[in-house]
Formats: sequence, C-alpha cells, structure tokens
Amino acid sequence: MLRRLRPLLFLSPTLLILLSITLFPLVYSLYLASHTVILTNPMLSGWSLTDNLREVFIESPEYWESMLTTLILVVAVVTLEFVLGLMLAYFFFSNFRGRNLIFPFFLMPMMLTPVVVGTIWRFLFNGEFGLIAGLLKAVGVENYSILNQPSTALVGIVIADVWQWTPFMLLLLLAGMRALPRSPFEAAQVDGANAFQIFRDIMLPMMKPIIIIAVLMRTIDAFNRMFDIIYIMTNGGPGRASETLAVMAFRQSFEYFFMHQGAIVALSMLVIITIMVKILNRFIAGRKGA
Amino acid sequence: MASIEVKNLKKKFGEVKVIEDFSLTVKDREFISLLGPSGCGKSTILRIVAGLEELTSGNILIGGKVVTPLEPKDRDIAMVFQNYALYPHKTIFENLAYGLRIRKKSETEITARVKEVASLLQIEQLLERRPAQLSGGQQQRVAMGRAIMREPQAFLFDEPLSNLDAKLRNHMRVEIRQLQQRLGITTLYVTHDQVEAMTMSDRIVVLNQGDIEQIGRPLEIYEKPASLFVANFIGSPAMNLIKVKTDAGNVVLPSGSPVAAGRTLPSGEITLGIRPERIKLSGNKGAQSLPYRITLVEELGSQKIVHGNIEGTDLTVVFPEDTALPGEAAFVDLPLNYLHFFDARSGKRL
Repeated sequence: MLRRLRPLLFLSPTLLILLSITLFPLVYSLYLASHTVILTNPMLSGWSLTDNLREVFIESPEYWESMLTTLILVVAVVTLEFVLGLMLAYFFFSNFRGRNLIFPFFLMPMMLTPVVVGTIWRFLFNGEFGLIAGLLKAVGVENYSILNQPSTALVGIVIADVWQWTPFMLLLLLAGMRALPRSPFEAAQVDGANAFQIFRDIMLPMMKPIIIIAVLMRTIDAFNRMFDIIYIMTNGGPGRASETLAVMAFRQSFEYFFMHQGAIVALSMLVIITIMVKILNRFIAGRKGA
Repeated sequence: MASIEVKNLKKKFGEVKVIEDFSLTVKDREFISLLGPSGCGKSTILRIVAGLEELTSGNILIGGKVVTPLEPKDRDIAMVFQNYALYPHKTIFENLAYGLRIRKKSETEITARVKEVASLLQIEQLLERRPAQLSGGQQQRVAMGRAIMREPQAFLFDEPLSNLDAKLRNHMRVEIRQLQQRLGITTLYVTHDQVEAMTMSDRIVVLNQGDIEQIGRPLEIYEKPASLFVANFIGSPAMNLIKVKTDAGNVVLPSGSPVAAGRTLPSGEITLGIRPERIKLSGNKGAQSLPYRITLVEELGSQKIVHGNIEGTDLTVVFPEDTALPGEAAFVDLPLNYLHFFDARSGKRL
C-alpha cells in the first residue's frame, strides 16, 4: 500500500501547485459563469447560467462585435507577419556580408514585453508629441493620431503587433528554410529555373509543413494574446472600436464588475483555443507519423 | 551533342587551394570518369562545370561556347545527383516535366515527352507516385529520366550509384552506360568506385588532391599506371608494391634475393610493383622462382586471395578457385613483362 502511495507522495507538492493555479481558476470561472456575480451589487447571487448565456450571446451585440474585431485583427496580423516574415527569412537565407551582425536587431522586438511595445507605439502615435504626429505636422496635419479614430485604431494596433511578432515568423521560417535539403534547389537550377521559380515551385511547397505550423501557432497566440498591447494602446477604444474578446472579458469583469459575463467570454475563448490547439497537435502528430 | 572543355581551372575555398590547374577535354559523345578518393576535388570540378560552384580562374566551354559566366540554367546540361535530388512534393510525372514546364512547352508536348522518357527507363507505372514512395533504384531512374527529358548537350553525374546496394549498383551501371551509348550524349561522371570507372568509361581521369595523376583508357590505366598513386588506387586487391634496390639489370628485394628486371633502371632505391593476379604461384621451383610462405587464404568463391611473404616481404597473390593450393613449400614467379617500376621519390613510372 505504502509502495503505491509513495510516488503520489513525491508528486503531491507539484500536483498541489498545478491544481491551485490551473484547476482552481477554471472551476472558479465556471462558478462565476453560472451565477450572477456583480461586484457593485454583492446582494445579487444565485444560479443563472441560461440567463447569463442569453445576455452575452443573444441579447447584446457586443460579444459578436468583439469576436469580429478579434478575427479582423488575427487575420490581419497573422497574414502580414507571415508575408513579412517569409520575405525577411528569404533575405537572411542568402549569404551576405554582415548578416550575422544585423540579424539580432531584427529579433529584438520579440524580446520586449507587450506592455513595453504598447507604450512605445502609443507614444509614437501620440497626436500631440508623438514622432509620427511630428512628421504629419511638417506636412500640415495638426494633432492627428490614428489611435484616436475609431476607423483607424485597429491599424495602429496591427502595426505594433506586426512589429513585435514578425521576428517570430522570421525565426521559424528561417529555421525551416535552413533545414531544407540543398540538392533539389540545385537540381531546379540545372533544370532551368530562375530564383523566383525556385522560390515558388520548390522552396515554398517544401516548406509547407513548417508554414502551417508557424501560422497555426501564431494564430492561436494572436487570438489568445490580443489583450496587452491593446490594453496599453487604446484600452479597447475609442468607444469599443478595438475591443477584442480578451479586452471585453477584462472590461466586463474589472471595469463594469459583471464577473459572470467576463467569465463567459473568457471561457468561450478557452473553447475556441482548445479546438485550435487540437488541430495543431493533430497536424504535428501527422507530420511525425509521415 | 557537344564537347566539354575545362581550361586551366583553379579553385580556392578561402585560402585553401582545392584545384591547382586542371584542364580536360571530353570529346563529343565520350564518357569520361573523374576517379579519385574522397576530397580529391572531383565533385568540385563537376559542380563548376555545372555552374553550381564558382571557379577562381579558368574557363569552361560546352559545345565550343564559353559558359563560364553563365548560370546553370543557361548551360544546357543535365545533372544527376548522388542523393537523386528529386522534388519531394511533386509526382514523378511533374518531376520529369518541370524542366519543360519552365521552358513553357505545350502540355501535349510535355505529356508526350514524359511518356517517351518513362517508357525508355521503364518507369511508366510510377508516374503518379511521389519520390518517397519509390525505392532507391527507381528514384535513380527518375533522376536519370529528368536528366534526359530536355535532351541536353551533356550529362553530368555526381556519384549517382553510391547510395544503392551492390547488386542494384551493378545493374544500374549497365543501364547508364547503355543509355548513354544509345543517346550518344557527352558525359562527365564522378565516382570514387574504380569498378564503375573501369567498366563504364571511354577514358578515366585519375585525380589526387586536385591534380590529374593520369588520363587514359581503362585498360591503359590498369596495365600502365603512370604513378604509384594510380597503381595503388586501381585494382582490387591492390597492386603489390615493394621497395627495392637496383643492381646491374636486377632489382634486389629487402631480403637480398635478386629479381631480373629485364631492363636498365636508374641506380638506387625504386619501387617494384606487380598485380596480384599476374603472379604465378605453384609448388614447383623454376629458374626464377622465389620461396613463398602462405599466411592467410581468403576464399571469394570465384577466386582465392592468398596472403603471404617472400622471406619477410609481404606479397598478395590471386589464385584460381578451381586449382588446389600448393602446401608449405610454395614458390612464386614474377613475370618480367608484368613488372612495374616507379621512382621512389617522385612516384612516377620508370
């Protein structure tokens, strides 16, 4: 009996920590989602799952608006990061003098925390003293900031996110390029292909597995993390113009204190991300099996 | 079809000289092998001819036209790589068709040519598969198919058989040679396998550390090796090489026994060479016989390789399988006309 319990005994500190930081918040958010929990009105309480779901998904359009904002942002940043990352990877794939010297500079944005990145770009875009506003002033546009316009706030966020996360794509795609065997490229050269044809017909198709993994990983990450940069740069504004699901969950919980609504939004994100991770895992497992 | 000319080729990798001064002409329709040990620069020469590697100085001409500054695609050559280098994501059909697609040939023309080449190489049933679904020999055939699709002026082969097992290698050797003869395409073939070079080539270029040791027809190289390196490199088992001293028309073995040289030789130390299959081993002592002590016999089925020594000097003999070996008291004769002599210092043939 003791022999059987002994492993459990050794594992128990880790298990306890893991359970308290993963399982407890999950259970607690399930509790929040299924009850009425409004911090400004603690007297209201009780089971209200169906009402809460109706409130979030059916009665107000906010959830779906935030979903759309999230999707627009995710598609925009992942597409741009992929295209730019691929171009940069191809650039760094070729041998040129000074490559190793300038490469680290291209990776730096990725090493900053999103809060710092958000702050840098908020200052750059600031309508009064920002660098970009200064340049605009020179051509006669006064006090303009794209972050202050509902129609352009997302563009500012996309720029900041692309600046930070393109290096991630660069790194993955460059590793993928370098891992490709050299001889098919040489065979294509002898076959008569020019540099563009080799890139399009040989390199890209051979990189397909790594491209899919890079895009999926970045999509999951972008969906998940569309919070910190936005919180710093616009806090979801102006109005709700840049309110993603993650920002909505935060604002519902900690600005309006509707904890149950915030929990439902967060849990809906959990479901979506779990599905995406499943797809990624299946893809990676499939590659291993192949 | 066309000739390939390499003129005064020099190649350095950084400060390291790989090829000093290499010149060679492969005549129209000729099959030439570059043969040498690993790292002798043979693949580098081939890649320079293909345009995949830049040369430090010199000139490459294909069909009489200078191609040195041209890209591989503009040289009108085809190359078969050691690891086949098939496009892994394309079907065999598309692997074969790619060169023609780039040249914007019509679909009908491409299909007809792929079918023609596939039937020539007997790979018609593989056209819809991908390279990973093919065996090594099949992949090799496809690689050759891809090379002949465009009807290039010259073929370049970079150790194409070294990834195949021995049986398949023998088979593909014959196939490549037959194909080359049928199509009459000028061929430069790189190998480290002397059997491949001997059996396939019109001429062989033996390379050592970037320099040409000898150029000649296979039998010429076998019968009259120009240097100690060639003598040692060509032939299996390798030629017996014995350091000897000259003495008035004779050479003297380390043991002191004289052997008739049959010609005048410079005085001093030289190297005597004789191929194991040219030595006569018997139980009867002749006028010129030397006593031979057998130490080990390797049975190959078709022949025996006998290891032993003449009074302490090692000597390998190839002996027919169907003849009984002499016992303890064995004797060897070294026939005069099969003796080779090399300068001990320069290694050159005397």
